[in-house]
Amino acid sequence: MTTTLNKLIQLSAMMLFALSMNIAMPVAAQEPSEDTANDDAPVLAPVAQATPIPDSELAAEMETLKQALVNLNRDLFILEEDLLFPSSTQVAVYLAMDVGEYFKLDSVELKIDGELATNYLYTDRQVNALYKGGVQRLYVGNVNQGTREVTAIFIGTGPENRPYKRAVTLEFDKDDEAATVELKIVDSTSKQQPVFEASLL
Amino acid sequence: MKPSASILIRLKNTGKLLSVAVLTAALSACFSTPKPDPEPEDTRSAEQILAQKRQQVAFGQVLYSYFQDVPDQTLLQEALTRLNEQIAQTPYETDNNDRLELMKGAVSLQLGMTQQAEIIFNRLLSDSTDDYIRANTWFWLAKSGFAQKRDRISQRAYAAIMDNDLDDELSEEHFEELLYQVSHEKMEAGEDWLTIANELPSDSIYQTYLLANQAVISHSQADYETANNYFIAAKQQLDNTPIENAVQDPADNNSWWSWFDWFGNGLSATQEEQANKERNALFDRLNYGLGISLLDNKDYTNALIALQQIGRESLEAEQSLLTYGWTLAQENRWPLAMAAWQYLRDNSQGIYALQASHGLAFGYEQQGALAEAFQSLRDSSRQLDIAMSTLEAFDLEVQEEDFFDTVTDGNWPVEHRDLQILLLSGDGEIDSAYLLDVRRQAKQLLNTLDGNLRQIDSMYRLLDEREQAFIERSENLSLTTAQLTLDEALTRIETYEEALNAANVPMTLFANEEQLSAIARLEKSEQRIERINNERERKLSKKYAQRVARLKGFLAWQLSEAYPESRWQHQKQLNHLKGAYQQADKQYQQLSSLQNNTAIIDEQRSRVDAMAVSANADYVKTKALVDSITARLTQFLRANMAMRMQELADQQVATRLAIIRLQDLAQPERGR
Repeated sequence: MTTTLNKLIQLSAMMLFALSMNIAMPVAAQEPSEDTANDDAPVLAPVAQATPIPDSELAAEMETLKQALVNLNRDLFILEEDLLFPSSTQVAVYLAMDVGEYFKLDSVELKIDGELATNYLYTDRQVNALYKGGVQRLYVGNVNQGTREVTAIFIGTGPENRPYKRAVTLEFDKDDEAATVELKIVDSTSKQQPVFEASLL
Repeated sequence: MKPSASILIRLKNTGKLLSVAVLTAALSACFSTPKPDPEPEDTRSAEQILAQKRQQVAFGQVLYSYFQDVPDQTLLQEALTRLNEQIAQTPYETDNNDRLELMKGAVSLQLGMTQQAEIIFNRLLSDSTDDYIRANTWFWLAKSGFAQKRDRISQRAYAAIMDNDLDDELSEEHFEELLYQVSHEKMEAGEDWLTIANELPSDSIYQTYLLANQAVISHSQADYETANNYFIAAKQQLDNTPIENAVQDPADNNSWWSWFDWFGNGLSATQEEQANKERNALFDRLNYGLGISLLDNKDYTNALIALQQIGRESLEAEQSLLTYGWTLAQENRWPLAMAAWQYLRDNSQGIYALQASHGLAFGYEQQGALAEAFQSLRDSSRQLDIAMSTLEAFDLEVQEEDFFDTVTDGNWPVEHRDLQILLLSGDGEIDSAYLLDVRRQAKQLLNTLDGNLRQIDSMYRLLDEREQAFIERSENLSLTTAQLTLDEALTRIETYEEALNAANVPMTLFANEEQLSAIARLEKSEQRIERINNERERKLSKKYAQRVARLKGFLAWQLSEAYPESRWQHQKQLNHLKGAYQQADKQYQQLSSLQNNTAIIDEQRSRVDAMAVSANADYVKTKALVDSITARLTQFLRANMAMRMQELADQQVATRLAIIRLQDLAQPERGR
């Protein structure tokens, strides 16, 4: 009887091993059973994150869909802008930065005709993107035609790590074409100070 | 000065003055300064002018998105920039054009648009001579090739960069990544990879990955000693790697917490948690690898130490303990084997605990402890019941549409977590990891398209509201009065013009009020003199008539002298009036046409219609793709679950048979 039990328990264990193989049991734990042997299966997978090799048909389908979506988003963006900000009333304000040795930007407060249009806080990454030549669309909105005034207040850290706050104002005539205002923060090496500029493109 | 209202009365006796006016006009024409050549007409549309103004700004916007690591936004900005360039009809210079292309290629690759990316990279490599462009193109091409396991592409890129001294053009992060790829390629080819790897900083996380992979390769070659050494070296290397290097990109998303870096705190709490998690997972994998390798090397004591270091929440810990037990059992080291299984059975609920119960029963039987063997089988049977019923319930969840959305989350039955691992890693028949990734991306596309369709709906509403407002404004705006005023003004202008251009312009036409009054008085005087002379016998002195005639002559002379200037002034006024009339008429015509014209709204609505069609078509295609992948994954998982269910059922039968046999053994007389 002991032998029978032994066989039964061994059978259970063997079945278990068969089961375990389906869950990628390490080779080291395999019983010497022919059913369970799998010489091709790697014991340990590479430790680095492996990128799956794409199924070319599926990948091509996905790529086509993604491209279509980029185009759709582009067209929607333009249409939305045309609808919400028609050129006869549109004003867009962009911010660009040069070097940034004398000024570390924290935030910009933008006013149009004395009214607060936006107050923007910058992350480290956004400031770095500006240093690298990036241009941020700070604001887009609608104003009536006529003489308008844009004021930008720049807050950050100036030379010698001192808190720094400067404003720049631009007065311009808004006509029936979209107005584009560019704000620039430029390092003046002669003055060793940041210079803030605003111009109508 | 308003134009004379009495022009028609004064259209007499003007012949003399007219000749002077004609002479003046002729002289004026002879001596006037020749007009300069007119400036070439600006034929650009307002849209084109605006696009040209925004061209540099548009380029900067792409840079802004790119350097914030927001690939989808970068791709959108790039598409907008190209459209702007098309409208501006002013192509970018080669340098900026290539940079735009490079950024597009890089983000396309990040977004899985490999084909598009590689077309761009290959074109840049064949056309561009700029160092920055060439170095970075090689980097991205190598990254793409490495991800697709294309042999030696990284080595080619590395050679091209080093041979041309372009390494300074790459960022440190990119150069390190390239070194890692090259080392990895060489390692897989069985070549010397350490020389390249030594160029990596000593605290780079890539060092750990390389050592670990070399360990895995050595293990697969049954060179366990070397494998052990590499695993240990990898652990030491990871231990010496600063935590911020343990994650590939600590600020991988564009969230507000990157602010904290400004205050010098290094990683934020969230980042640190993530970094710790990744670091611990890597330690677990290293310990697991080392443990298995030591077991294969029959170094059981150290294997146990390595395996015990695996975190308890790791599935690998359970698997490793079970493996450890069976390895010891093969060596007939029962007490140690059973201790491992006992621990596993008491501390886990998964499939490995179930297997541990069987192991225990087997071990007890081997040692003649039938009561304990019986108890273990009972435990096993109970666990099998639970595992089967959980699996049955789970099968219903698997068939739900959104099941695969949360497949990586923790809501997986603890008894079958190994199936989750199987699904996340795939097997020889199906690359479920890739399918899950594609499905996740396709779901993201669906979400974006959902958002787009909502946006389109709101555009329709906006256009409807605008149209309604337009109709109301049109109804409230009466242009009849304006038309009458304009007609009246035109009649008056024509009258003035006719008077001014008449062949015989009367002298008095340009006389002022005083002069007119004087003329009237003089004419009255003449009449009175004539009447007196007719009525009375005694005639008036001729001196009176002569005086009147002299005064009239003086007045005529005055008017004659002032004629050219007066006529010019009147003509100027008339021209001004005509200009004002034309402007008013133009505005009237525009307003009139606007009042009845909804073409702008119609045009915008047709654009929205086109986008709605396009978005819906994309949605249908994407949904079909998601459904197809879901079906494949469901089939794969359910097939494995069915197999698992069958195995559990077989196991249950065998366990119950074993229990009965044990009962028979314990009570041999019971069956008689």
